[in-house]
Amino acid sequence: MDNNEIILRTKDLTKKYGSHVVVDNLGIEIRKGEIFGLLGPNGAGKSTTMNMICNIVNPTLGSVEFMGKDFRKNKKELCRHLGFIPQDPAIHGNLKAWENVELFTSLYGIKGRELRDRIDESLEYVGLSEKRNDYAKTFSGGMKRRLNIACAIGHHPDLLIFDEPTVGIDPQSRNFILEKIKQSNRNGATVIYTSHYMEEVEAICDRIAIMDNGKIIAIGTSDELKKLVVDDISKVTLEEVFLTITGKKLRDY
Amino acid sequence: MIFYLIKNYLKMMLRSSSNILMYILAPTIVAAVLTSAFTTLMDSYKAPETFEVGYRVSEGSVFSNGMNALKETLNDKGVIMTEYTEGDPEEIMGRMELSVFVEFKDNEYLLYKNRDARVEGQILEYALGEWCSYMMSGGAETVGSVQGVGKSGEKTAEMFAAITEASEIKVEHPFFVPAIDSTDYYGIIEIAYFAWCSIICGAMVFTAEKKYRIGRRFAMSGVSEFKLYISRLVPIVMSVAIGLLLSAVIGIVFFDVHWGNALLSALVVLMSIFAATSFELVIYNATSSMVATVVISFAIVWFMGFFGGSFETYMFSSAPQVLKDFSPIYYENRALVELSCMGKSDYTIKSILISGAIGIVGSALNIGILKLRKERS
Repeated sequence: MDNNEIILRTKDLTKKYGSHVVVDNLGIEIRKGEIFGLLGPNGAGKSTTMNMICNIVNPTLGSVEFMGKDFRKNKKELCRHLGFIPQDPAIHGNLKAWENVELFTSLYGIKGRELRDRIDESLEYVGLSEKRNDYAKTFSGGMKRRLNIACAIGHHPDLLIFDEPTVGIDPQSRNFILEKIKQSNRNGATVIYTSHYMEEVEAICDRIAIMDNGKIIAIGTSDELKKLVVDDISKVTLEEVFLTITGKKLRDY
Repeated sequence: MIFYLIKNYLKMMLRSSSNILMYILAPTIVAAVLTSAFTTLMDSYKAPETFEVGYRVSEGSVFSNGMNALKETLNDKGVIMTEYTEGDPEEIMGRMELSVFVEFKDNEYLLYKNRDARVEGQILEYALGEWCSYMMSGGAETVGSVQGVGKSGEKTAEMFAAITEASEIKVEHPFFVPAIDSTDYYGIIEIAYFAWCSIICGAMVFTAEKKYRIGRRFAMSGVSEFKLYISRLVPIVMSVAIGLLLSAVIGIVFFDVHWGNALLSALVVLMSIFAATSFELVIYNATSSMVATVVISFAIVWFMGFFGGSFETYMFSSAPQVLKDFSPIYYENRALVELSCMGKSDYTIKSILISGAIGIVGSALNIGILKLRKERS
């Protein structure tokens, strides 16, 4: 793994809704093979940033370079290298587990025997093989989150973006998902991970960026961020660093 | 890709119990209610078993040579033609209690109808119209049916043998009230009406898709707007068609509904489902609200159905013809009713073309709106 190879780079990425600037000239670089954590209070612009990276929202200004190419200009070619796991399970309750994976994996042009293999593989990966013929609407919250992941990995993306995948689920499911993120990374996938659970971010992320008011205000490893606040990093948690940097004022968004 | 999209959307729609209720049971129930409500009214328009027609043929009329054959054919159908060489037609009708009188002139005919015998007049109009059409086409196979009096398909070549060169005959195609009873009428018409309520079929799926923001997966996959649109259009058309087919089968088996030309009727209904789905998806894509879509669509469809004969029969409706002409459902209803009782209809092609035009324009608009939304996101 080449630690210096950049898989994704945003240049002056900006999103405005009217006069409101949600993301402001954002420039970040994600290295190939790393797990990159993106933190920020509500309304900081994390989701908009990820939506722009995923081509769901068009930037007002700036660009996203993915695998060395302009994403918007090479969308058809590049989108198959990207997997997005949204916070709320984006699955159809009236479809069986395998049908959900089939539907969303087929969007990337995978078909026939290969598609069937990918469905089996994805369901196996998230531990839902035995539930493949059950309707998604009968699943628990944790199972839906796992199916949500299965739907996003069937096309073997190089970059996986997780948007708060562990909100509101039991510790077992949470632990399972975190293990799978690490496993995906070991298998070669680069990961962008957002969460409000600081201990999770600290545990799995190689580098962390803290975002507020549409800008990156701090970036580095967990230890590097802690050093921004205190000299003795053993005396401070990432959450304290976060609150120190972004402030304790409530964000009403 | 598109195959898997269509397949899975179709599965979701067919698994929905509300769709079964909407497209299988609702047309059957509404048809049954309207049938019972309008039975007496429509029975009053039933054709009599037999009736008498007076006629006169001018000397040298292009019709004269075929008159005996025409008389014989109509006689077999229960229409007795009696010649009156002199006298005022209206006076004769009053004196002899005739329902209809026909004056065959040099190259045209004049039809007198008794206001109290509307159906008899229209039957004769239709028969004569068919006869003249036949003569003008120079064909010698069939004259079609004398609807309400007899069965179709009888060869009457002999009838026209003597006047095959009568191609200059002037005839205005007569307005024809088909002899159809309320069971057949509403059994057919309600299928056509519910075809225009197709958006309900996708409502649950689209609502869930919006609620769980599933559209993001499509957006980031780079799937084209055309494929996205087709993956919604085709499953809706297919599942509504399946539901309505089952409803039609229930009507045929349990209520003895006669569809006449089933193949053409199916094509007319299928095209209207295409038109309706495309049109209603335009509203959905423009408003992004299923509630607004259902309210707007159903209001429009209700008015189209009201003027098109979905509730009150289009034959006896007092609605202005111009409003009927603006309703695509009117063309569809006329085509289906005439196909049922005559086996053919001038409105079949019109209905298919109108539905096709709505469907194509709607499809273009849908793709345009989806592209615009994508650019503005």
